[in-house]
Amino acid sequence: MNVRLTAPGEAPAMPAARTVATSNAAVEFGRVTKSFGDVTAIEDVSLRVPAGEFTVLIGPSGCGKSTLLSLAAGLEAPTEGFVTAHGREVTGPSRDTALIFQQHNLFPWMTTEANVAYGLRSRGMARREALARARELLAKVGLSDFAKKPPTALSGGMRQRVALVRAFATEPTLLLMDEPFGALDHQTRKIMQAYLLSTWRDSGATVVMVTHDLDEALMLADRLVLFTGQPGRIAETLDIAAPRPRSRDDPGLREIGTRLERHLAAAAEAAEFTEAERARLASR
Amino acid sequence: MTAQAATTHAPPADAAPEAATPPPRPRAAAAPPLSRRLVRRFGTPLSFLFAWAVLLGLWELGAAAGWFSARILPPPSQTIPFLLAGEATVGFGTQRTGLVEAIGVTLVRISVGLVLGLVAAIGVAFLILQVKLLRALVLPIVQSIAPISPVAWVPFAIAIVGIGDPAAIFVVFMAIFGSMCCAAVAAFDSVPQEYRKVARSLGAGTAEMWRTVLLPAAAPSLMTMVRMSFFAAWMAVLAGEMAGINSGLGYLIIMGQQMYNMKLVMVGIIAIGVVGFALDRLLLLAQRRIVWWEDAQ
Repeated sequence: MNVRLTAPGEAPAMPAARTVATSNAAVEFGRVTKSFGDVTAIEDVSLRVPAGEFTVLIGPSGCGKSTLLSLAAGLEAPTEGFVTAHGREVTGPSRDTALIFQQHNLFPWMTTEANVAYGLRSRGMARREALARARELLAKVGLSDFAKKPPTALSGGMRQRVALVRAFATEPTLLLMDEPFGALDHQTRKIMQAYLLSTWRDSGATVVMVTHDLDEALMLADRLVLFTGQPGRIAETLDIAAPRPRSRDDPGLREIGTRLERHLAAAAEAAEFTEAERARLASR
Repeated sequence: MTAQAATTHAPPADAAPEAATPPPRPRAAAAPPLSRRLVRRFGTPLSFLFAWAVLLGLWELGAAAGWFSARILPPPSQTIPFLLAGEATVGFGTQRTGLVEAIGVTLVRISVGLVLGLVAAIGVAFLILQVKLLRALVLPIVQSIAPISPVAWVPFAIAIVGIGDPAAIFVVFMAIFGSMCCAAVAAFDSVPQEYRKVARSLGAGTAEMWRTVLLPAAAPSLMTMVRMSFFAAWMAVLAGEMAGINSGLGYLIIMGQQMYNMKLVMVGIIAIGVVGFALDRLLLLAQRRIVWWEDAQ
């Protein structure tokens, strides 16, 4: 399973097992193992996330992708190995790191603008100033009319957009996203992907995103990290150099897509069915 | 089969206006006026009154027909004039206490006990959540205290603080503190992890986390808890007043029993029911106002 492949015509993928700290790594995982009690979520994972790049972690559910994000965010500590952000060991949540989950997690007891202003207020900005800044940011994404409304007055896509604005408000250098668009319908999802790409480009931040949507991964990623599960390990790392905006019909992307699709399907099947069931399915 | 289809699928006549209404979000609409909300909160007042009218009518009829003794269960035609004549008083001289005064005394005891209990419960819950050792040391004690009947505390209350308001307040406090504290710990524990993670990654410290995330997120459960505790406090204070604390509504009822004045007992019961019901509705209104975002979720 530890084969490392390179997309056609591109630089060889990073060797995953051994890494050397270099100045341009935003996050680095060094031989990280994380266990919760008896369950090992990830095992011996080494990964360098280059600064300013868009890295996507993909794999079947339960393979420890989200655990990896929690480690990078400083919400969990590794059982073995180390995690660094910008060359410094991660020991707790950092102000330079923002998190986005599948659920928008806007605070329903605050207005939309107060939600966006939350991080600014935590950093000591005066209330009036923070709210003014929040309104400015909301105006940029066309949500001025909703600034004084509670998040419950917004549609699902709008809420996730506000969550993005809130995360970017404090100008984080690292944005960690855990299936951010998983709860959105297909059309809204595509719009949000485009919106994320433009925001990311303007901000220059490093993005690490977890998804199990292969299509999404191919459209967004500079670098794609394929996980296999239980305990989670990196099966493959590959760089995608195709220029953006990308098309789903790009032959290079389709080729990678088809191959990864097979890989993910096999992994999902292995997790879902027993050996005997698979044999029976195959014999039909 | 066709009849079933007609009931399960909305007929087109119904569907059309729904489709015609603009798609906006009704949640964003302004809250309806207070009068309309009062009607909604109080259920349908008409059916409420009707149910009571039927019961009281049967009661009156039963007393007149001699199905039961009117002296033991005085019918409304006796109780209401008694109430209106202002005769619902007991005691003599300085110990004399009227209905209104008794209600007032009882309500003050409940309010003070409830506020003290709430503050203490949230305070202890805060410590239990902040300090792991306290969760192991204090929570089991609180859980053991919770199911003890408040009346069991009466002898203690009287021995410690003497007969009177402090004893009654102590009984109310003991009646609600344990269960409120357990409920508060559960409410704070069940605040979604994601809220905490987001707040922490946005830079919130401990104090800010409590003020801006944990308290508001737990507020709906806490408000429900207060309403439940109000009922418990109402019962505890009456039990306490009947068991040795010589003033308030409970005392009024016990005096009615001792003087074999069932009209007085009846008046006391009516007061308890009406005041309790009204206050619960008020608390419900307050709850909707304080945790306004709950309705919309």
